[in-house]
Amino acid sequence: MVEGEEIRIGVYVCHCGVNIAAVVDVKKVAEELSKVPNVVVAKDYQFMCSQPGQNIIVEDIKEHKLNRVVVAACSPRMHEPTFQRAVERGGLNPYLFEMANIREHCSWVHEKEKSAATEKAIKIVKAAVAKARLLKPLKVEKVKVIPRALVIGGGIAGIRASLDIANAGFEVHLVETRPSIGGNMARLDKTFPTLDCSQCILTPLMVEASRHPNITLHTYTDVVSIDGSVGNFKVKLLKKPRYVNEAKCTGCGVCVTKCPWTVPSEFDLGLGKRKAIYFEFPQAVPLIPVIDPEHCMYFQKGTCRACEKFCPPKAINFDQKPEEIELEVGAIILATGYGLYDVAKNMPEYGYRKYKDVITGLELERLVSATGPTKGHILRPSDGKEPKKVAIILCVGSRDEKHLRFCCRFGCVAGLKHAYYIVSHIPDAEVYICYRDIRTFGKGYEEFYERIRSYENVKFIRGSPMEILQDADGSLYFDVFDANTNRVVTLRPDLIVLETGIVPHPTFKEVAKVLKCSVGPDGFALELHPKLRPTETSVDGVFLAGAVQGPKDIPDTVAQAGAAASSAIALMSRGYVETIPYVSSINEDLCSGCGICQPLCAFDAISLVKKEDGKQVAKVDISKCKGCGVCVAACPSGAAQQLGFDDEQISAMVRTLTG
Amino acid sequence: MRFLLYLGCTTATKQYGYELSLRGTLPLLGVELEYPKDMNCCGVPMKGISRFYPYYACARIMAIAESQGLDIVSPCNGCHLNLTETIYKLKLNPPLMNAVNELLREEGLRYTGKATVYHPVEVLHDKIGVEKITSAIKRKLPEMPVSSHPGCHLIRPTEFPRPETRNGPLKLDRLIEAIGLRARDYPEKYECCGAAILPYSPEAAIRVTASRIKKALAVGSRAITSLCPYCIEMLDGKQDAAKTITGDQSVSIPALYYTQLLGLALGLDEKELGMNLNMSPVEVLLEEMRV
Repeated sequence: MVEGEEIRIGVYVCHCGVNIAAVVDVKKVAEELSKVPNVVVAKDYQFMCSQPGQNIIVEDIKEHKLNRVVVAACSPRMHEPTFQRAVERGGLNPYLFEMANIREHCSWVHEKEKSAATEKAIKIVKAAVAKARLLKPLKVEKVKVIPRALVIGGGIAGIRASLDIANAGFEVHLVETRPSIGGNMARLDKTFPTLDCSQCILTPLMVEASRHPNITLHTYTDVVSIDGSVGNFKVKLLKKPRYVNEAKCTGCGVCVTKCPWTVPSEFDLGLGKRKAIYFEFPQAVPLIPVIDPEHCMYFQKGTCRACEKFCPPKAINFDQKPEEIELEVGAIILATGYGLYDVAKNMPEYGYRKYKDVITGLELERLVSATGPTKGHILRPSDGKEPKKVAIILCVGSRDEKHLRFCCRFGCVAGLKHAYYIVSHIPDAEVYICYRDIRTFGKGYEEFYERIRSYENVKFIRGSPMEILQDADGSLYFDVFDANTNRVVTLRPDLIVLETGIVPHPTFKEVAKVLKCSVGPDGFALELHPKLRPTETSVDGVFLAGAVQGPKDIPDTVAQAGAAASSAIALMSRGYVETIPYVSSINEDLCSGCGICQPLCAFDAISLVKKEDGKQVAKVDISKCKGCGVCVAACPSGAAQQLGFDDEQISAMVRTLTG
Repeated sequence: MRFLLYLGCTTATKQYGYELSLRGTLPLLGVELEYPKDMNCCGVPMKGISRFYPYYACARIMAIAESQGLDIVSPCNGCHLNLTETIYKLKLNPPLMNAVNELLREEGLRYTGKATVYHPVEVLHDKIGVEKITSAIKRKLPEMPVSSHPGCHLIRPTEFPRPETRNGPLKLDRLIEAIGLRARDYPEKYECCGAAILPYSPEAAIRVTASRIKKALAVGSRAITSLCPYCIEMLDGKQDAAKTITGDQSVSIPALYYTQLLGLALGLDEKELGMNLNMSPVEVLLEEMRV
């Protein structure tokens, strides 16, 4: 557009099927707008976002020599980029486009007031036209993307995403807070519905991840800080001391055998024991032990040193210090996974932690696992006897407005699998599954349900138990109202398995704070769009894999990990990102150099510089600026302006709306 | 420390032992009790018919307390719940508060939210304190196991604050230990006493009561105690009916108010505590305590 050129605006009113047109008189809106100065053409169309709808804009730009375009349709969140591309195809700068929201802001909220809604829609579109007159072309800059990715979380999601990125030829740094990668999946004995051995399908991937030339593993390491933005993140990691020299250690395990101190094992969820120097689990990757200083006699009392004495390669190093690692990466994948809902604290009526024979589903996995505390025999924790009657309770904490409102999405099938464990290990056992609904929606899950349902010694009771009680002889019992038979049933099981609800992993909260990414009301990471952009976050260049985004089973987790990896690969292989054009800009003639804006900037984008004439002014680093507008609002002299949203443009809109 | 004693219907018409023991023990621990000048039912029986009426009924009770410049102590779990719920809801809902005050104005009453309500378990545990109770003991009771039955509404619902929670030991159990007895858990401690279904299904209600008593006996408890007039009405008053209905003659345990036990520890006479009105075999307990 040439300076001083006549302003020619095209206005397009979308029906959005019936979403807008059933409430707002779209023809009247177009007609009214055609009378507004500078509006050369005003039209309505059923679906402006469709190919024919976009073509109307492209052709009109050429035919009517338009130099501004206004589309009145839905929220700009979804389709502003669509129309900006159409405008660009028509030969205009994409920022000479303005979107008026007459769906969320009008038709959807005024269903019962049609004529008033039409009046409101006209005002909204007129305000957009008022702004469109003052639009200036904006420039987008390209910034290089560092071809290296960071994956946070070493469960199946993080491992899969790391392997996919590494196989595409990019460097990956995989960070895990525990001493070994593997996550929750490593705790499982079998996976539903195929009942293949969890370790057998996971450990090869763990080994592959550790041997891959493009993958650097950072186990027993936490993320401290993340700065920068898409393409150029600066990451600080803190590697916790293992007190074992990783270069010298051969993983022989002599130290573990010789260590005389035992404590409950975290990996076995407290059911089994580990030593003060320990491997996370026998197949740990990397196979390097860790000393737990809280329980090691050397750290507590200065004595023992048995591990050091017997270590063949002399790898024990009690003086090891935490190590800070700095990285620069272009993309980040969050794969921090899930934790279990705290049933002991929040649902005392289930007696978890109060009674030894009330265990969680994940704990049962450890009891069944060949590497678990009972070497694969199902023995109840209180007396080590084989349970003959087992109750499995679904939805403990899930789908409950007092606890977690959402479904955990794998508890039902896990419960069915647990029933299978019991009857296959103890053929004369009876299993009672207390359920509210059985949700077996995944591929092959319904068939698996039918199979378990056909077992004679697995009984299904539709109802949630009342309080779990312990009788004077120590036995557990509870009443449950079976809605299928309209009877209260009293069960006296030897072992009770709770399929607990799940929550985001406790480490996620800290990571979300460091990254400033959006968190949903349920505490899980919020995706950018629930259907169309499920792997992206509110922070560009940060992607989601697995249960960090919400409850997921293994197939869904692996699928999303692949999707997150390909998003990261796409970003890195393109090699550049476009900056946001709506950045803050400082009018140096007006700026007094007062510096009020500088500490307010959350993204560290503003610095104070001295000009050649000695005058101090604020300067914006556009690669860091996110266009939040805080500096614009704070500037006392009006020197800071947000491009695309300057005072003149906003005032024109306000005048039109209130005039 | 002064409170207005709002008895509620059950204590005032059937459970005199509760009132006698409250009025006997609390003054010995530095609590003065006053009777309200005028009173009404808390409105719980009307809950199924009118949503508004119980708010009005409770607001009237609280307004009377406010006019006397005192907080209420409400010994009935049901009244206490209804009063707490009303205070909680009125504070959140100004139009409701106005509607209630509109009606109260006819009598020159007004509730602003200043006066509040306490349950005896809160007065004893939070206001007086376990240590003060222990130091006031005059008579050493034998270290016998006693089970508490807190009653549903001391704990439930969880939507607004209740005097007791399920996380950690009960205040009532700490109070039992404070007078030298041993608080003993039993399986059905937190379950309903049966009173809730007594009007509709008396036989089922009494079976429920019998089950609670049998579970307490099974863990070796020598007595069962509560601070709810409904619970004691069932656990103390229905033992004969329980024996008939279940055909089990073993359903027999001394059942009494905690304030009666406290009174014994504070040196009061069993008649002063209304223990001659208890229907369960409290004399067995008294005999053991004299030893």
